[in-house]
Amino acid sequence: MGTSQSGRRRFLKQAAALAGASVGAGVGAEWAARGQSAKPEVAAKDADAHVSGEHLRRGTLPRRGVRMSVDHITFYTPLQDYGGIITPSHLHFVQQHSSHFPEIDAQQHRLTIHGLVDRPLSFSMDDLKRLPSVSRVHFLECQGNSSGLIHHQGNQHMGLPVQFIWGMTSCSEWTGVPLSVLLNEAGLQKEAKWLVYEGADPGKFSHTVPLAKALDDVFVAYGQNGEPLRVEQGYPIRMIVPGWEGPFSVKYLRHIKLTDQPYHAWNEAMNHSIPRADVGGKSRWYHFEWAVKSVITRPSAGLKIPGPGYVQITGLAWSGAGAITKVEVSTNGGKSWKEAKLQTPVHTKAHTRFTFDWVWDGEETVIMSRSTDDQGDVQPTMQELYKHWGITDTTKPSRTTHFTAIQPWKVARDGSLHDVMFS
Amino acid sequence: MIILAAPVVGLAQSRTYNNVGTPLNQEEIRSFDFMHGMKGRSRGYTVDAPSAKSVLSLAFNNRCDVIVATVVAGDEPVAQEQPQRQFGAALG
Repeated sequence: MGTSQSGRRRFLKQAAALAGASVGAGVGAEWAARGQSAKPEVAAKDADAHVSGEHLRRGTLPRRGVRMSVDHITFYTPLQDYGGIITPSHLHFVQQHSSHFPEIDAQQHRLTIHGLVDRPLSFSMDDLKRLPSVSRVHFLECQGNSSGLIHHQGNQHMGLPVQFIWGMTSCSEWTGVPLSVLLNEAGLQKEAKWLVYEGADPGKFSHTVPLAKALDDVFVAYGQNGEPLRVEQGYPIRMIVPGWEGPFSVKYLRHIKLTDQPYHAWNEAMNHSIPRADVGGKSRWYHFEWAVKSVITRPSAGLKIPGPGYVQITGLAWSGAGAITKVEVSTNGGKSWKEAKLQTPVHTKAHTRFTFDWVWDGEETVIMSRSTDDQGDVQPTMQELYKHWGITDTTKPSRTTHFTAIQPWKVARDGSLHDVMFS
Repeated sequence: MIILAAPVVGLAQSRTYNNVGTPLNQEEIRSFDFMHGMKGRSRGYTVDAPSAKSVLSLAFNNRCDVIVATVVAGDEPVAQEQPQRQFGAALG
């Protein structure tokens, strides 16, 4: 799919941006933020301030951890630093598959629907806002969040362990138009079974979703937490595919094509599928819906309990299949479990806050959480997950995505907490 | 006249929110449809290598920009041609 901009000029511009990023380790990358996104050096400074605790002394908000590379910009949500279930918009995680954010004029932006439809249509932003809207609370999560390989791989810019290991999930109230409304206007042909859709970012990020899911609960969002989408969240519009891996929720959405088969765009076929260990790596695994997950966000690794006595354990649980019905907490390394309290309301396919009253006796132990959703699915241990995938060596992190295992945090006698997923 | 007008009326009635959105013509669709955005050629041939019997070469261009790739394709490179061409087009 092309754009109104010259393809040649765009190519050269992108090449220049990539060259700048590679020379300056990200600092030279082109940033077009409309005043809503931090420059890399600012983001790094914010991350420093967060890690050092300076924000507490200054009374300012916590900031995202950050990692810059030639072709990725990643901001990690500081899960340990906020309460409730709504992630403040400026703390929402970002996984940008390019070296800069695109400049998009919302007045000129169009969303087109074509392919196996009766009436190919183009929608302006004004068109979209005239149509019936919905507002729903849903989590988004990068397919690589909490992956085995990220454990013990952080640095000072990436925040605390619960932030850089688990902080590529966030939860917002999204506002937009149900995709079913738009597809009905275009008129679906009977052969239409899949959608392939594309963003207006430099990499033309594309993904495929089956029509049944699209008609179920997918929507085109132009608002987040009561304000317009931020640039890093896909301004002016993005797809929201509730409960499914983050890459399905394509940002800067501009083209939707109805097809009779999945398209296997590069990002879903090569970047977001993984070799199947259970068949010797001869086939690749596609994941769609997130399974049930949870993590204790406070206290967690990098934090310290001041001393023996009362501690409220709190964290988040979520499932791509539905609503969380139960979270259990163990404070003795999994020998026994007790049910935590769930804060209400509990939304489907959304973060759910849990709390657990605990009196720490000052002895070394391991704390962890285990969630259950309304489909009856229970969060597995790392050993159970690896066995299911056919990975035999459970002592080492493997290249894993869609990682849903229980997170153990060790509490040392001095009150400090540590990640013991692979130790 | 009546026969020609009937389907048009039928389509108009099936829309719920009239006058929201603009119809696209085929020329506009062709201008952004990535399935037709790049032109490509491919050729399969055998090689004398211990780990592969055949490979497939592909080249795509969009004006002055070009992508050239070589794909290890096993015994039947021609059978791999179409999916590889689609993959290459997706890169564009």
